[in-house]
Amino acid sequence: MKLFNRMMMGRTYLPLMISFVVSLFIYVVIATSNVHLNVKPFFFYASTGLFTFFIARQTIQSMIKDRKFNSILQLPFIKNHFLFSLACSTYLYVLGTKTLVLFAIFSSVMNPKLDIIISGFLIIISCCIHGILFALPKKRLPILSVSSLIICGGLSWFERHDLVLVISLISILLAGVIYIKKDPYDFIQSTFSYKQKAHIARGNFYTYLYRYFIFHKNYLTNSVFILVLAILLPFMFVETKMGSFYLLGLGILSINTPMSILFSSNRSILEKVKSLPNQKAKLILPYFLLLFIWNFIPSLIYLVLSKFFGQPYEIEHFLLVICLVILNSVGVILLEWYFPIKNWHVESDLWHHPRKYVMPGILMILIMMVMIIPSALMVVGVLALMSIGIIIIFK
Amino acid sequence: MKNELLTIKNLSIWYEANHPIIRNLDLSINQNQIIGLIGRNGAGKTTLFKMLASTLRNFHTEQFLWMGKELSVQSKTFKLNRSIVFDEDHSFEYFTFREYLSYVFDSYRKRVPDLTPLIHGFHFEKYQDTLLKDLSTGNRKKAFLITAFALRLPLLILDEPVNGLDFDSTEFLYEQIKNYREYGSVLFSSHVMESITMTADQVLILQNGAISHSFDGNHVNRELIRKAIDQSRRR
Repeated sequence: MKLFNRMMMGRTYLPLMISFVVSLFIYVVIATSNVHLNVKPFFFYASTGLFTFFIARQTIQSMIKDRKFNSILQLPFIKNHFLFSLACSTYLYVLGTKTLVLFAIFSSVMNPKLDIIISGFLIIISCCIHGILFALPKKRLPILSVSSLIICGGLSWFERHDLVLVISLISILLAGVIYIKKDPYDFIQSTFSYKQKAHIARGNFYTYLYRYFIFHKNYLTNSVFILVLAILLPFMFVETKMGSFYLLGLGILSINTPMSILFSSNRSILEKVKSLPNQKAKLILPYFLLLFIWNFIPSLIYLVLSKFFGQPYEIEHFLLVICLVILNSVGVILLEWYFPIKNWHVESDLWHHPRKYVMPGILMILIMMVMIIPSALMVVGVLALMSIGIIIIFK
Repeated sequence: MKNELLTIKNLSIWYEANHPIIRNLDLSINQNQIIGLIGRNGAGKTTLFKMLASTLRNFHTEQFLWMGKELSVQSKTFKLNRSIVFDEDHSFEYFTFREYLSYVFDSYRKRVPDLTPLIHGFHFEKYQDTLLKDLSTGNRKKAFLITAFALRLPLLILDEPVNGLDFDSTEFLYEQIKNYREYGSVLFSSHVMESITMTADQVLILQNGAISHSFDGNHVNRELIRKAIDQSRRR
C-alpha cells in the first residue's frame, strides 16, 4: 500500500496535507460567514459521487497508460493484498486530495444532517470503487454495480436517506465481490497484445493530436462538457436573475483543462520540441489556431444563446469574445512552454493543478473591468494585439 | 583552429543553485570528427547533451562558438545544424515512424532522402507504420537513430546509442558512426568500450562535471582508457 500511496501522492504525502488544509480553510470561512444554501441532498450525492467516480477512473487509467502497473506486477504479491492495497490507496488519494474539497464546500453551505453525511460518504466510497472497476482495460459492464448506483440516485431524489444508506452499502459489498474475482493482471493495457498500424505518411501537429485524442478520449469528453455548459449557462444566468453578470460566463467557459495541458501531460514531448528548429510554424501556430477555434466555438454559442434569452447584445461583446479567446490561447501556450507542470504523480494531479485557473482568473478580471468601465474593452483589445505580437516574434 | 565546428569554454550547468553538474568544462569539436564521451553514471553526460539540445536554462558559458561565430545554444542556426538522439525518448509516441520522420524533416526544412540502406541496416522494414508507443525499446531507438543519421547535419549527438540495440544493429551503428565523417561530426556517449575504440577519433572522460582525460590518435585504445578510468576512480 505504501508503494501505491507514494506513486499517487509522492514520498511526503504533500498533496494530502495541502488538500486537508485547503478544505479546512474553506469549511471554516464558509461556515463562519453564515452562507447557507438550500441544496437538495440529491445534488450533493450526485456531484460528489460522480466527481469521485470519474477521478478514480482517471487516476487508474493514467497509471495504466503510464505502464506503472507493469513494473509493479514484477514484484512478488498476493492477489487480494494487491487489489485491496490498490483500492485503499486510490480511496486515500481521490477522497483525500480531490473529493474532500468538494465535500467541505457542500457540507459548509448545506449544513447537512448526520444521516446525509454518512450516506454521502458511503456513496463516495461506492463511486470510487466502481470508478476503479471502470478503468479496467478489458471490462464488462458491471450491470449490478451500475444499477445500484442508479437506484441510489433515484432514492436520493425522493430523499429516502435510510434506503440510500442500505443500497450504497450493498453496492460496496457487490464491488467487493467483483474485486475478489478480479486479477491484478486485468490492469495490463490491452494495446500490449496488438500493434497499432497507421498509414498516414505525413506527420504534422494535427495528425498527432488526432491520434492522441483517439487514445485519450477523456480529453474530448471535457470539451463536450464545456459545450453543454455553453448551452446551459445562459439559461442559468436568467433563472438565477443574474443576467447582468452574464459576461462572466465567458470566463467560466475558458476553463478547458485538457487543451491547456497538452505538453505537461507528455513530459518528453516538450523537450523534444524545444530541441527541434522551426517549431513556431510546425507547432506553436497550429496549437494557437486549434486553441482559438476550440475556445471560440463555446463562447460564440454562449453569446448567441444569451441574446436568445434576452441579454443585451452589442458588437462590442463579440469583439470582447475574440479578444478574450486570443488572450486565453496565447496565455495557455506561453504557460505550457515556459512553465509546464512536471512534478505530477498521476495524470489526475495535472487536471486539477491550480495553474489551470491562471488564465480564466485573468480573463475574469478583464471581463469585470469591461463590465464596470465599458471603455476598458480598448485595453483588452490592445492586450490581445500584443499577445498576437508575442506569437509572431516567438522563437 | 580553422576547422573547428563547436567550441565551448567554461561551461557550467546546474539544476540547483550552488550544485553544478557540469563545472568549467571546455569542449572543442572539429569538423568531421568523431568524439566518444565516457563517464560514470551521474557524471553529467546527459546533462551536457540536454544543454546542447537547448532544453536547459540553468547554464553559463564564457564562449559558445559555432564555426567560429558566437551563437546562442537556442539560436535557429545552431538548432538547424545539429540533431540529438537521447537514450530514453518517449516523445511523439502517437506518430508512426514515417510520420515522425516527415515531422522532423519538415522542421529542418529538408526533404526525406532514400532511407532504404538505413532501414535495411537496422532491420526496421516491418515497423515503419507502427506507432512509436507500440515499438520495443530497441526499435524505438532505431527509429530515432535512422532519422538522425538521415538528416546528415554537421553535428550529430548520440546519448548512449548502443543501449537496447540487437547485435546486428550495433555493428551497423558502429559502421554508420565511422562513416558519418563524410557528412559531419559525431559526439556520442557510451558505456561500451568497444563502441568507443572502434569508432572515435578522440575520447573524453567526463568526471565530476569536467573533462579529466582526453585521448586521440593512437592513444585511443582500451588499455590506456581503462587505466585512466581506474585512476580517476581512485581519486
